[in-house]
Amino acid sequence: MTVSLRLPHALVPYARGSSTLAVEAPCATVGEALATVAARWPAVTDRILTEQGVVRRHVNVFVGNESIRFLDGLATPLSHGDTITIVAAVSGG
Amino acid sequence: MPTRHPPGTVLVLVGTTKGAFILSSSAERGEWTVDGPHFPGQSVYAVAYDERGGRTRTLMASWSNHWGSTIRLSDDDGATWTGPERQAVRFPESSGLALAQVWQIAPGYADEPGVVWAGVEPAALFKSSDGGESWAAVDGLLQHEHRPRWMPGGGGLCLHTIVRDPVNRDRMGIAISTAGFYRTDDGGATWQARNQGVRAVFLPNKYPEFGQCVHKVVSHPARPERLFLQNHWGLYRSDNWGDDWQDIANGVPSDFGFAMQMHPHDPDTVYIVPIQSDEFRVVPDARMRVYRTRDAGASWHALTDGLPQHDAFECVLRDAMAADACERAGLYVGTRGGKVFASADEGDSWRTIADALPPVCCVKTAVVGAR
Amino acid sequence: MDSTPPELTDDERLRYSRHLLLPQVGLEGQRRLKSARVLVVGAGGLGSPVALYLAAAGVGTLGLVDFDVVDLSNLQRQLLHGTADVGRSKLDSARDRLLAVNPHVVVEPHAVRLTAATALEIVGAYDVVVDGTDNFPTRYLVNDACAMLRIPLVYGSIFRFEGQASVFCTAEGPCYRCLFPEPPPPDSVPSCAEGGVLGVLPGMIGTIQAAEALKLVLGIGQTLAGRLLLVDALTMEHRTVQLQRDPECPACGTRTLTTLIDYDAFCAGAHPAQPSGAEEIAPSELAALLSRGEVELIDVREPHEWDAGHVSAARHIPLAALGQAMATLDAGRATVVMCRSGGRGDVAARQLRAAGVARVRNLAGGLMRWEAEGRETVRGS
Repeated sequence: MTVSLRLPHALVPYARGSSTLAVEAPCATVGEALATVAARWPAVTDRILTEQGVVRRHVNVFVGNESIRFLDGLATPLSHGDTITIVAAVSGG
Repeated sequence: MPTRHPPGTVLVLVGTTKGAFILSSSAERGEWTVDGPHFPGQSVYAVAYDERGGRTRTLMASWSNHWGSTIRLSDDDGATWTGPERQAVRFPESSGLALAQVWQIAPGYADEPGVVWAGVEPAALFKSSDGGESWAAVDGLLQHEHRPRWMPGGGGLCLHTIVRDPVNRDRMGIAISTAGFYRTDDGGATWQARNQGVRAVFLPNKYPEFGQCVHKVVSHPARPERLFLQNHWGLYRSDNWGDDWQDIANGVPSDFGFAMQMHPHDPDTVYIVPIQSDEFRVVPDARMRVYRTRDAGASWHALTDGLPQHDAFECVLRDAMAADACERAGLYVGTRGGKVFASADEGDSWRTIADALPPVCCVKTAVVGAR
Repeated sequence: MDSTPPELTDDERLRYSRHLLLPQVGLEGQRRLKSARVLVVGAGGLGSPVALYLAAAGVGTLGLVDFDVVDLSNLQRQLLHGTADVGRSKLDSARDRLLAVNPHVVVEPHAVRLTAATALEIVGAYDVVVDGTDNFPTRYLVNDACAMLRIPLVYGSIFRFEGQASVFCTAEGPCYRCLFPEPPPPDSVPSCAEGGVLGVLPGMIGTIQAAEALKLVLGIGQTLAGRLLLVDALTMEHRTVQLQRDPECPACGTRTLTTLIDYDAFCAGAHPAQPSGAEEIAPSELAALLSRGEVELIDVREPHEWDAGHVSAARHIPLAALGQAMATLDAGRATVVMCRSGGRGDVAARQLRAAGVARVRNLAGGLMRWEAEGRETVRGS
């Protein structure tokens, strides 16, 4: 199964310049996908989750178009081809 | 900065809410070069410079509100920094705690070049044995029986101060806002509250065993048993490594303040920056005054030469004062207004060496090749 | 908006003829635009295209909030201002430019920084608000004011090569707090001044905001309410993700947020105080838990408030004494704290959680809401 993880520009340097990461592994949930990402790009997952495995307070995680806050959090199930999008607050104007 | 600093260079490392700056000068400390910002846009609450083990390593804790906190290392005077492959300081999963901020980085003894200590929020002490690359929490403090009853202060529940004993290596002191001062005599296995005589104005019981909002504690290697303490209201000295404390607020305009700095060569000389009050956190009378005692707190005198004496609504945070190890000691004070004041004559006279930095969180200094 | 929109002059009919040709706008829509009052907060990168297009489109009254001065480094993206304007107030420069584009527009300048004291009055005088601010404290202030006054808010934000846009605070839709519940500490996120921004990006996002504002005034199309538009100028990908109103959102869900907060007033010790955060419990749920004896209820108000009336099952520990009383609490027990309206309870709940009481919640709306729902209290100490 393959899902993709889309990063905001602030996290691109932690993924060696990639703004979209392909996650190819059996990962049934968002949490498992982020754990898979951690194996190769540990800095990316560390920026999204605390060491207790909790989504950092000012970070939003979407699967497809839906925020996981209104789904099952990190237990939100994934299907082949899903896109996980990380959205952070920006303040410029 | 492409060129390495030659021996004798005086460095002033300044952490701000918007990144870190490295100020450098020759030993005369007349002309200063400002290098930075490092980590622009991130807060830097802790910095250290470490020349042990045959390398010159700069350590900085960079913090982003979104992406958390991590300790970064540079072995080339800030030209390049280690990337945060992993958040270096991690609480064990069993603790249920997650790192909020690194407040203090303190290299260990000269003959144990790998050892570095870090004080963090939520209150915990971490130790590194490989120069700051990997860290582990000191379990005795993490499991402390008082922990459930510690309350966070205005800066969060932060462990911000680490005091070593130059001789007795099993002894160490730490200060937590607002839990107070704790000491271990067995290398960190057990920790005892050592706050007798220190007042907690904001609590119903003014002299509790712990719960004081200690802002800073300093000591001098020549007299390790004697500690000086700047409290959230209150200025104290202990002559027995914290067993009890005496009030030494003699002749200061306010005994509220954050920063406190030991003279590098004289164990009787200490510097503070009194602040008007916890309600109005600026220097009293809008006059920027550093106070110095030369008799271990029996008397304090204002140092004003070269410091702004009107309309100076400045505040100096707990780690924003430092003293260099030059023969004639230099003092450095960073303000929330983004100024860095420096004295090359032990505080007798001052100059502004940086005028418009972001709000200053911490200041450390080092003389290259001094150890 | 007025019930009888103003007539258009012959000159205006010619000027707006390309609008009048659109069946979705037409004469009636153009008259609605003429009677509309739109507030643009910030006359900078986003505010420039927003104000220029809204003025050109014939929005009758444009409020502008800004207190800054035009700087040379602004001109790379802030098209309201020209080289000759450097050093002038942005409001003066913007008004001249907007009136040059369309003299039929009334420009209402507000040369202030929005604060908790001024925001409601200024925001409340407009039909639609467009957020073109460059900092989080003002963003939350504008959002909270719009949520309280139920005025639609067109949101836009930019950083480097990324932009976001949405419509908040509509009757059914979410607000900014549903997406980012708590303001980050002031200055904790880089601004354009520090992080940089592609000059055309505010043009891209600002014109989207202008389109959304026009749609809101005209009542046409589908706005971005309930959706967040993410724009990446480097890949030129535009994506939308769904947003939902958070039923627990203090601003637009539970509506427990009833006063504005100045988020940049903070403690010099270090971090700012976090203005919100503790989990809340509704009075009905608390009543159920109390009836089963499954919760410890702590009232943190002052003694005179306690004497005047309290929940009979509550234990009284004034906020200032909470630290000392900590040793007497069971950290493992489900705990609820309460105060008059929720503010002190929030502080207490966060203190307790930080001290290790894992399951602690704050009574939503405090004693006032408890009583408003007709629940019992007792008097005396």
